Amino acid sequence: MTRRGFLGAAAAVPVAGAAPLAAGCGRTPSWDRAAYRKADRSRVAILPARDYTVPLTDVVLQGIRHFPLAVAGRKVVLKPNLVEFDPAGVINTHPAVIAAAVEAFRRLGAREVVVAEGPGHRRDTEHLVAASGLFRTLTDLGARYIDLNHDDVRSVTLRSRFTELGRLHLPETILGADLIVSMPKLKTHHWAGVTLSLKNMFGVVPGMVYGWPKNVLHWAGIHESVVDINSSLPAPQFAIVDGIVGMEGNGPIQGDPKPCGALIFGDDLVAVDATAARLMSIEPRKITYLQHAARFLGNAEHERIAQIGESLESLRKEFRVIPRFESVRGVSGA
Amino acid sequence: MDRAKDRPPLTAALLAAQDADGGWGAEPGRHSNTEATALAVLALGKTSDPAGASAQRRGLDWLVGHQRPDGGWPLGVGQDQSTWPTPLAVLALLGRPEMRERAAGGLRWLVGHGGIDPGWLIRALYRLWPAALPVRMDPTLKGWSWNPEAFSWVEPTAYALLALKKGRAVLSGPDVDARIREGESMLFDRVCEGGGWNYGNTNVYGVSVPPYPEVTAIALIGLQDRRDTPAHRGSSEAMRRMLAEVDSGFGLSWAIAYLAVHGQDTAAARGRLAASYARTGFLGSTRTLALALIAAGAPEAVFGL
Repeated sequence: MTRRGFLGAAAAVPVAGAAPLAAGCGRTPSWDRAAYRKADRSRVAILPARDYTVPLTDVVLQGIRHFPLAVAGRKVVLKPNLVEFDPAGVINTHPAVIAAAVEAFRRLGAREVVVAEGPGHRRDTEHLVAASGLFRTLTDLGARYIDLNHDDVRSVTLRSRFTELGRLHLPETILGADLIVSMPKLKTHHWAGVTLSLKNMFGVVPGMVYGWPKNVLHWAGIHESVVDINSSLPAPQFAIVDGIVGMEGNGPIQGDPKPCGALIFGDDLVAVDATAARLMSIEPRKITYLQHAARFLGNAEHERIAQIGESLESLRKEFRVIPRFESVRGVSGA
Repeated sequence: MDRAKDRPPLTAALLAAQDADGGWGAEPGRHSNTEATALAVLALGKTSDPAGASAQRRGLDWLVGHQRPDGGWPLGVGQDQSTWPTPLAVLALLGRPEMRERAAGGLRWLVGHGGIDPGWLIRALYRLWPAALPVRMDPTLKGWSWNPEAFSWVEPTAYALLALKKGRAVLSGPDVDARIREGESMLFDRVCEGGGWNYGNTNVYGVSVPPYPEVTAIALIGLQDRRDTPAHRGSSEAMRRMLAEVDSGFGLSWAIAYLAVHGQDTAAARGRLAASYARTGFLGSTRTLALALIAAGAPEAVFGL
């Protein structure tokens, strides 16, 4: 359990003054203003995929090709969301989407494509990888899985100061990547509101150092940690969101399946997450970490996102949230 | 005599995974760390294989060389803070008279450290209005944490309890007893509905969080001398229910250790452990390789009190 979790819930009931005492609140965030220059406009592609049996490699290739990504000869690290396993649940990025991404980046000439994750709750990675079907998928593809929780690590200086962490240990696999592809599941989240491509990067933080769960980040502030991690990743990033079947309600673990029939692509993770939130009928301006990130990492405003592919309206669904986040529902300006 | 040909596959793989500095990394080729090295030293046990004995000696030297002045152990090479693998390093040193003082130093570090305090506000909320909290736990109970700047969680607490209990011949006293009692209380408080443990949350927003078999096994080993308690009895039942679903090297190794420590039959689980290794190679995890080797031998001697 985390201080923010305790206080967040306490704030949901009227305990005046509790929430501002949480870590991550009350300080003036800062970042290296010269290092970040938001584009005037960002592009996000929403491509339909009815279910996991359609030819997903073609869809993923189509999605990637909407963006000027340098892939040939590069080391690509795919970072799916693999947290827990529940045979009846939809917790994790579907192996078929991961397989499609491996194939797609290989076809685009990547020197190496690896799948890397540091599950946040369960230390038994072998169980998660095997039970989820990912082990068989990767074995069939001849692709490597790297457990970021147990990777060699290096301490890096954070490039923004939304938390007071200052430095974080990050895995060498992430630090050595030429392109990091965040591949989250489209989910609601009982602490953060939604968990998408930015929040998914919690998984690059090594459990060996920070534990299961990655408690230090929670104490530092979940929203603030999301921003500091993403601002400090050294390689260019891309996002492929598995929204074929998402999760609503008490996510990220115990929510219910929510078919949405979409894959979402983009090279501005803020814009991708803002669009994905709108697809869930959730207002991105009410998600704290998206508010923070939109100040310097990317575009969240609807009018600054050029949308490609399927229209948002045609695929938008009403995602249920827990009562604490009821106020984030409903989308304006889209 | 060339023993290599006759060496069991797990032993051969573990020996091959040793780093040049004498330690073991999380996977072959990774920097040595305390967890994998301590488990490898324990796994090589009382080996009669000269290569195994030599590897174990070098592993012990690595542990000695990386003990910090405060008595604890860091995660591994290049880390400068004592932290959660300390009890595993202590276990590797216990029973070796020449290491007695080093083991005592590690135990003293454990007695003096633990999860951080949640602060006055959370303590007050818990006392006055526990229903306002999203989780059902007593946040004031202090076990041990993964990170010196974090809260107490189940697995590091179980490791610390095991080391303190096995180390009583080396370090004992009222402060040790008090720390053990509080750690046990923290584990009792974190038992999932229906028994067993996960990482340490039993209920979030009114929804029960299920136990994990591997964490349940580790916690039961940490509480092996508390079989009279409802937590141990209920969680042993939960472990029996979960046993059939355990499929990984890490999970099966800890399950076998739990069964062996509690005098139960391990044959079926050992067969599944071998199948797991054949299927996944434990994803290259040196820690799991060492644990499996312990499980294949006499885990009750390594983890029993």
